[in-house]
Amino acid sequence: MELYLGLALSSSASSCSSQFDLNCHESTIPVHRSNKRKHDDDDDDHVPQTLPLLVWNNFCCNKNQLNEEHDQDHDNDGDNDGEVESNSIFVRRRNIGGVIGWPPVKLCRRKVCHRKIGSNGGGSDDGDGGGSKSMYVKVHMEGIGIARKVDLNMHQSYQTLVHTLANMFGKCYGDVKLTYQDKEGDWLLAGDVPWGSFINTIQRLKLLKK
Amino acid sequence: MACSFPEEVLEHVFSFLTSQKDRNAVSVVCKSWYEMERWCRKRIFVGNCYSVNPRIMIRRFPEVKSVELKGKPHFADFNLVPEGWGGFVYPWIVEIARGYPWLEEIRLKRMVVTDECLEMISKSFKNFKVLVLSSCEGFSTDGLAAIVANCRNLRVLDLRECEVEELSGHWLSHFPDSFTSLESLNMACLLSEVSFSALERLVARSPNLKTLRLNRTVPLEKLSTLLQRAPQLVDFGTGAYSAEIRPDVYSSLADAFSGCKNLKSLSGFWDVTPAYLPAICSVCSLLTSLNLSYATTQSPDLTKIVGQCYNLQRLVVLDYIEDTGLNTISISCKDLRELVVFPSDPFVADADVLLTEQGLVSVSQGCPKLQSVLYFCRQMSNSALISISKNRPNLTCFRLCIIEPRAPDYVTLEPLDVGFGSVVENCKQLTRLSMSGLLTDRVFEYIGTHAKNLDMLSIAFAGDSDLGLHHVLSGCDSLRKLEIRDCPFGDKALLANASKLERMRSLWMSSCFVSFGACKLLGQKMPGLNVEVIDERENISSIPECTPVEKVYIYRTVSGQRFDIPDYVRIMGKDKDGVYDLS
Repeated sequence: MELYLGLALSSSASSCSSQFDLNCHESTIPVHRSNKRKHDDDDDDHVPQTLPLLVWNNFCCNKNQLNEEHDQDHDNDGDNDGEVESNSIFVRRRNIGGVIGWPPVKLCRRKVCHRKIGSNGGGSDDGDGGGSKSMYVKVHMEGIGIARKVDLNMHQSYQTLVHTLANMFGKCYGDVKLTYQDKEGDWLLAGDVPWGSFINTIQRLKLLKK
Repeated sequence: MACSFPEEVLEHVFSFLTSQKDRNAVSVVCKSWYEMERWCRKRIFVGNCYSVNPRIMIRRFPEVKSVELKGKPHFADFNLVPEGWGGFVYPWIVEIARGYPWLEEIRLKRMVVTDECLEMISKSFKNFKVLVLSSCEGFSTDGLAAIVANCRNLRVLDLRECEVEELSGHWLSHFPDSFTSLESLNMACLLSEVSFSALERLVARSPNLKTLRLNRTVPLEKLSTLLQRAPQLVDFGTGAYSAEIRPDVYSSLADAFSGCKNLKSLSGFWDVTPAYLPAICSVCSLLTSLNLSYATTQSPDLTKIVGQCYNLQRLVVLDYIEDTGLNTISISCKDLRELVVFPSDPFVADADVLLTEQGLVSVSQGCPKLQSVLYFCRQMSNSALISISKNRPNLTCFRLCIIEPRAPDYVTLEPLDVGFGSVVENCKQLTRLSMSGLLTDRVFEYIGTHAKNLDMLSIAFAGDSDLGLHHVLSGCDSLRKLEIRDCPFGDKALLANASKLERMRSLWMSSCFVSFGACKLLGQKMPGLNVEVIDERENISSIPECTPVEKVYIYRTVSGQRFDIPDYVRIMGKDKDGVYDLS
C-alpha cells in the first residue's frame, strides 16, 4: 500500500519541502512555537549544538495542571542558587526540573531520592523557585476508582493542596477532608504537623467525604 | 500430503517447544500441525493487551494453563501516560475465568488490577498457583487477602513495584493454617506492617519456600528469626537494614546468614547501617544476584561487600558505588552479566558522586561476560563508548542515561553519534538500546544501517529531522518496540513507513511533531493499526489538523476498536464501531 505524502497535510516542519526527499541531508531543527512563551531570539534556525534545557521546555505541550512543568519565566530574574541563564550551556548546581518523566527513573525509586532530599533540605523554605523538583504522590478519592497524581512541590500549605485536590475530583473544598499515609504506613488526618514534616513523611493521599 | 506421525507422537515432540516463537513457527507449517499445536499450547504471552481479544485467544488455545499480559506502554513508568488511559485487566479475567477454569498462572505487567479482579481470580481457578503483578495498580490489600485466603494451591505471590492501596497489613494473616505450599513471596513494594508472628508461622510451615522478599517494615533485628526458619532460601530480600549497633544482634544475623547454604540472591537493604553490611559476608561468594539500589551508603562500604561476590552475575547499585567501586568489580566479579547503576540524586545536574563514564569502561574491560547494561551518569564521551563497544561486542542490552538532556561529548563537545554508532556496529547481537545525550540524524543512520537485531529502541531529545526516524523505521529489520519523546520527528517519516508499523508491536511518540491530520490518515489507511492520539488539551476538535498531537501510541491489533478509552484518547480514522471513518 503506497502512501502519497503531501496529501492535503500542511507540514509543521516548515523548513522541509513538501516532497520527502531522502537525499536531503540538511540538518535543520524545525521550531515549534508554543503559546506559552514568546521566544525572542532570532537564532531559531541556527540552534547551537548544545541546547540549554530551557529551550526544550517550550516544546512540551502538556497543559495538564497537575503535571505542569516548571514555568521558566520566573527563573530569569533574581539570582537564587540553581537559576539558569537562558543562553548558558552548563551551570553549576542547576536542577533538572520541569521536564516530566526525565531522567527516566520509576516513581518507587524517586521516592528514595526525595526522602534523602527532603531530609537535607527540610529546613529551607521552597525558595529555590518552587517546582524545580517534582514530587508526585498518588491521591485517591473515596468512592472513585481511578486515582490521580499531584505534585506536592507546587504547594506550600494544606489549604492550597486541599483546594486543588477537591477541584480535581469535582468536589467542594468544604465537603472533603484530607488524609495521608506516612512512612510508617499509618493513615493520619492531614493538617496536624508542619508542612515540612508532612512532606518528609508522606507516601500517598486519600480524600474522604465529610 | 497427510501428516504421517500419529498425533501422540507430534504432541510429545511439541511438548519440548517452550518458546512462543517456536510454537508460532510450528503452527504455520500445515493445517494439521496448526490444529495439533493449538490444542497443546499451555502458555500464552500477549505483549499488548489491546492487540487481541481474549475470546479469540480462548477459541484458538483451549488448554492454556498460564497467561501473561502487558498493558500500558513502557513510558507509563515515567509519568508520560495519563491516569485512566487503560490496561484494565478486568475484561480479560472475566473471559479467562469462563474459558480456562484450570488456569494455574497469571502474570501481568503495567495493568490496572482491581480488588474485584483479584477476588474473581481467587474464586475462579481451583488450581491457581502463580500470581505475578509487575508495576500494576488499582488494587488494595483487601484484594491480596482474597487471593491469600482462597487460593489453596498458591505457590507464588510476587508483587513487583506495584502501587497498592494499603488498608492494613492483615492480608498476610489470611493464609490458612493448613496452607503449606508457598514457594515464593515478594511483598517488597508494600508499605504496611504485617503481623510478624503470622509471617514467622507462615515461613515455618512452608518447606518449599525459596523466595522471600520482605518489605521495609520488617526490622533488622527480626531477620535472623526468619532466616533460621528458612535456611533453604535461594532469594532473600531484607527489610529496612538499620538498627542500633549491637554485637548480639550482629552476630545472630551473621550466623543466620551463614546457615543459608543455598542463597543466591539478596535485595532490600533500605536505610542501610553500614556496620551491618558485613553480616552477609559468609554468603557473598554464593551470590549470583545482588540488589543494593536502596542502600544509600558510600563507596567503601559498598565496595568491600561487592568485591567479595566472586560469582556475581547481576548487580544493581546506586551511583554511590563510584568509579573506584566499579573498578574493583571489574577485577573481582569476572562472571558479571548484568550491571545496573541508578542515580542517587537524579534531579541535580551536577554530580555529588564520583561516577563517570570511566566506571562503565572499566567494567566493560574487566568483565568478559557482560551483556546487559543500564547506566545513569552525568558525562559521556565518544571515545568511552567506542572503547565499551570494542571491549564488549557481546552486549545485548545497552541503556545509557546521561542525566542532562542533549549533553554532548564532554571532552570534544561534539554529538555522541559516533559513540553510539560504534555500539551498534560492534555489538551485532544488540537487541535493546536506549540512548541519551546530544544526537543528530547521523546516529539514526548508523542504527538503521547496523542494528539489524534491534528489538527495542528508546529515544529522547535527539535527532534533527524526519530523516532520523526514517532511518530507524526503514533500516531496523527486527524492530518491534520504538518509543520516542521530545524529538523533532513529524509526519513524513511516519507516513512513508506506515507498513513497517504493522510489523511492530508498538510505536510511542510524545512531544514530537506528528500532526492530527497524519494520525487520522494513518488510522484510515491502516486497518491493522490502532492510532491512539492521547491529548489532554481542551477543545481538541477545533484544533487545526496540522497541529502536533501531544502523544500518539500506535500498535497493531486484531481486536479492533477499544471500548474503554478515556475522553482524552481518540482512536483516529475509525468510527466507534471500528469501521473506517473517511470523513
